[in-house]
Amino acid sequence: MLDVRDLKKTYHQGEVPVHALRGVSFRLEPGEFLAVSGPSGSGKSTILNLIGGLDDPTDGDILIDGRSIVTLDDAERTRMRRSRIGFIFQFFNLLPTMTAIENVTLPLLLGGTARKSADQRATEILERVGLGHRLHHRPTELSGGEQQRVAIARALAFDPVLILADEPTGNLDTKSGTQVMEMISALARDFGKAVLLVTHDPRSISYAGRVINIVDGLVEAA
Amino acid sequence: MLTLLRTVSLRRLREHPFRTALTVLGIGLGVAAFISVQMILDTMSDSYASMVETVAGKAQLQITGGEAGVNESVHTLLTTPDENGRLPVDGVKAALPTIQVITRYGEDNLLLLAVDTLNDATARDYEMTGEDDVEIDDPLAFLNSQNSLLLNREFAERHGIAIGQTIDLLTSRGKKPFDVKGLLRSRGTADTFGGNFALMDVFAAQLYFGRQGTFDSIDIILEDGASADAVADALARRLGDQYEVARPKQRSESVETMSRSFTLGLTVLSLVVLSMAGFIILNAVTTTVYQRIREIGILRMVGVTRARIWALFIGESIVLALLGSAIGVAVGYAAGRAAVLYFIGQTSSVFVPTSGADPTFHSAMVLRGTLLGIGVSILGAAWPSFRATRITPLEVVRFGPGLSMGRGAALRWWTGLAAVSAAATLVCLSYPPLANDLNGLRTAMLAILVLSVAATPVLMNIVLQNLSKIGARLRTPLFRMSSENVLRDLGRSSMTVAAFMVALAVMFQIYIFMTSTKEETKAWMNNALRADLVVTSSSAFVTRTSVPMEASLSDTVSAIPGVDVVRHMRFRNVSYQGSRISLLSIDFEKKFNPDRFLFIRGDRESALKAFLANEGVFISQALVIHHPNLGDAASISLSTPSGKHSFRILGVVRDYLSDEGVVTFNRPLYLEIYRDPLVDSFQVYLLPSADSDDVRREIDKGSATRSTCSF
Ligand SMILES: Nc1ncnc2c1ncn2[C@@H]1O[C@H](COP(=O)(O)OP(=O)(O)OP(=O)(O)O)[C@@H](O)[C@H]1O
Ligand SMILES: [Mg+2]
Repeated sequence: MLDVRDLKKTYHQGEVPVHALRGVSFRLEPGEFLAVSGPSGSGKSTILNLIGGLDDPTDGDILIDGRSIVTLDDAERTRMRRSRIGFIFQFFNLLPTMTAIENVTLPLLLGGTARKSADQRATEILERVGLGHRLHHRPTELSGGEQQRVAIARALAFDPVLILADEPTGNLDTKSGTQVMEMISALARDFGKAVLLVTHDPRSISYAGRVINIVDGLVEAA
Repeated sequence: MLTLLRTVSLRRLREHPFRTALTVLGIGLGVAAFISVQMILDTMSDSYASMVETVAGKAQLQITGGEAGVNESVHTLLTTPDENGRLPVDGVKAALPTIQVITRYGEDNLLLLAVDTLNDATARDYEMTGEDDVEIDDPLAFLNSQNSLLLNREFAERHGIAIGQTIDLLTSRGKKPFDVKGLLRSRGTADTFGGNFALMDVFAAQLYFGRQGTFDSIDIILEDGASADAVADALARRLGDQYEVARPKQRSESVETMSRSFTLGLTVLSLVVLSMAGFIILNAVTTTVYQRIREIGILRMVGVTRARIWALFIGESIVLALLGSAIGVAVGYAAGRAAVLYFIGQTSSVFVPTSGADPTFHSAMVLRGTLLGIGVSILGAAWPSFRATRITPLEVVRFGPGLSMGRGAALRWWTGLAAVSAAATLVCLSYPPLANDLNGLRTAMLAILVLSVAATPVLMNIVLQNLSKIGARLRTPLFRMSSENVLRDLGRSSMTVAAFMVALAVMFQIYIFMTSTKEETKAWMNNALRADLVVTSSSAFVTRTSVPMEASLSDTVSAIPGVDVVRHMRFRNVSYQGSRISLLSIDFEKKFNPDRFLFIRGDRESALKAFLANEGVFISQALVIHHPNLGDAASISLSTPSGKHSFRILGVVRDYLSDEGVVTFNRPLYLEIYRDPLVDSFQVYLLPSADSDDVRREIDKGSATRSTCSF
């Protein structure tokens, strides 16, 4: 369902162009859990951002369900992000003014879901990630692990086909990290989502079904 | 969208109560300025319009004759039937003469309507009750002697006047006693002018108010079924272009109720205040956007489109604008009301007199004020909101929560504010009606105020930058970071504060503008009419030109014991480059009062000397406004009986005699060039020992046959 073809990305910031990606290709199927690992600065996050449509590739193509996202305009890409992709980041990235449930309902409401059913669905997901008792707390009133679980709930709100996670355990203690990784691997195993995890944490990598190693913007032969 | 406004914007606004309040107040100030100014202007024109229309009663047409009035012969012509008993113009059922004067009773203005007591019931209804509250059938019959008067009941009650009492009113002949014969119910025509209304006989009013041989208007009542347009045409053909025939409504619309410069000046100032509100919004939104980069990035990431981001920030500014407008409408109403009562409640020659009882305020004003508030806010928010849409989620993803510390408001906005303030100052300085006194302390103060306020943020920025350099040397990272944040916050609100101060300064200028217009008009009138007695064939407080008298008449006045000096005043309207300007000539050298001339341009000493030596003329500021090329011209060319004549301009002075402009001559120069022996009034100065009442009686006696009068 995800097909990355010869992806290249060059940043032109300052005098010297930075070749963050120099031709990366891989595929990812529903229910599959793929980990992307590699040293710092190797281009892992760049891959994720390009797939999420947060940035434009310099060359190459990205197909989701057979459709190229590279040619979409900003509004179409934004809608795609809302409905088909769930993001989970190291820094949770929750909206600070909103409560847990409001953070989760936001993508639903943006997509036109009625307030009542959006609330219902958000409550359901938050309960599933074990936050039924924290619905009306703001991010600042939650622990790191709880915040990350809210972020997972938000990523799942629209029932996306693809989950993109960038160092989701990077800011968490071991216990919360384990909890979060359990949840993410369950998404692939039990709910048939395609999961792409970027990390250099060996413990997180161990949850993945398959691992590719990026070095200097290229997939290292296994 | 509403969800975002509620869950993001409103909560953010609450997080920064000080900034939010300042922004809301800024908009409030702008809207308040606009609304109160509109109230002032509308009240003036409305009270004039309603005066014209209610006074017209059932009359469908009115004949007026500009400043000269309508000659009695017109009335005779229109009301004399032919041998078949028909009136000369078809469709005219009645032609009713009126005179309208605003006179004073004590400190209050009183509109005196004088009508043809025999026939006026066809045009206007009056309801009168007698002493025992008995309805009286024919109130007009009570106006049976020259000094009879019917008074609005409420006005009478307010002043404790009873039927049968005698009250003194200001007339062209000075204060004169009038008998209150009855009280009119405050309804219809009698309710005009806030109820400050009195009714009298038109022929008596001619004598009292210097309208010998003329009326102010002739009101036409049409036959049933007659077409107003057709009759108007017929009348116009019959009377010639000396007279205007119009519906009362047209008349009230065509008359400029106050000086254009006054209207424009106030409006410009209120819009300057509004534009400051735009700056405040601009600064507020710019700051929020920088502080919320992270939030915007997250919103973009979870699927909020650029259009919605834009709409979110615009929506936020609309929320602020609505709050501000609500405050602005309330404050503006209060301020406008106070201003109407304080400034316009009393007559002065530049203002249309209103009773000041009920300022005009309607929903359209609220709507316009609110829309302007919203419009200005949207304009102010447009650019920073657009900037917000350019923020990509990438920045959030790549950096952690520390990102929100963006740059402060850019220097160029400050420069913009400085530019706008400087422009506002320039407008205030160069636009004559705002520059009440070019040499005056006030204008200088305004300029300093506005410029320094505008410069404040720039200066502050420089100071802050230097402070932060010092901070950076401190080498304690924590302290350095916190000091940077404090400095940045100071820098951010400094522009809002500056814009706020500019707005307040301009508001203050509006106040000064109105006060000084009022005060200076008063001062001018006091100076201009400083004579102990003015002998005139017309009332001095009516704008109509008087019926001129022969200069030799002054001999009789001079001969009266107690009279020191008699000056001759001639005031006439002439055409100058398509507009009607006024020529004023007085033999100033007698009883010369240098204070009479309020100089705007010219060296006072030498100008006055040259003026008395008949070397040239003074022109008024209003003339320069309408003919800017005269601003620094050396001379003005006027048509005279002996052809074009060029007069040296000795100075520009303030003069409220005419809105279109006045050229002032010393009388010998005027006589020499214009060879015009007529005068409009004599200014009589008495010896200290003289009793003015005695002298006045003498004048009245001696000149009764020539129908001069005095006050
Ligand atoms: N927006 C950008 N502008 C310029 N250079 C960038 C940008 N984003 C990434 N880079 C550069 O591209 C290269 C790859 O960055 P990327 O963030 O993908 O690395 P990474 O593998 O995720 O590293 P880490 O494990 O430290 O997160 C780096 O050299 C980085 O400096
Ligand atoms: Mg990374």
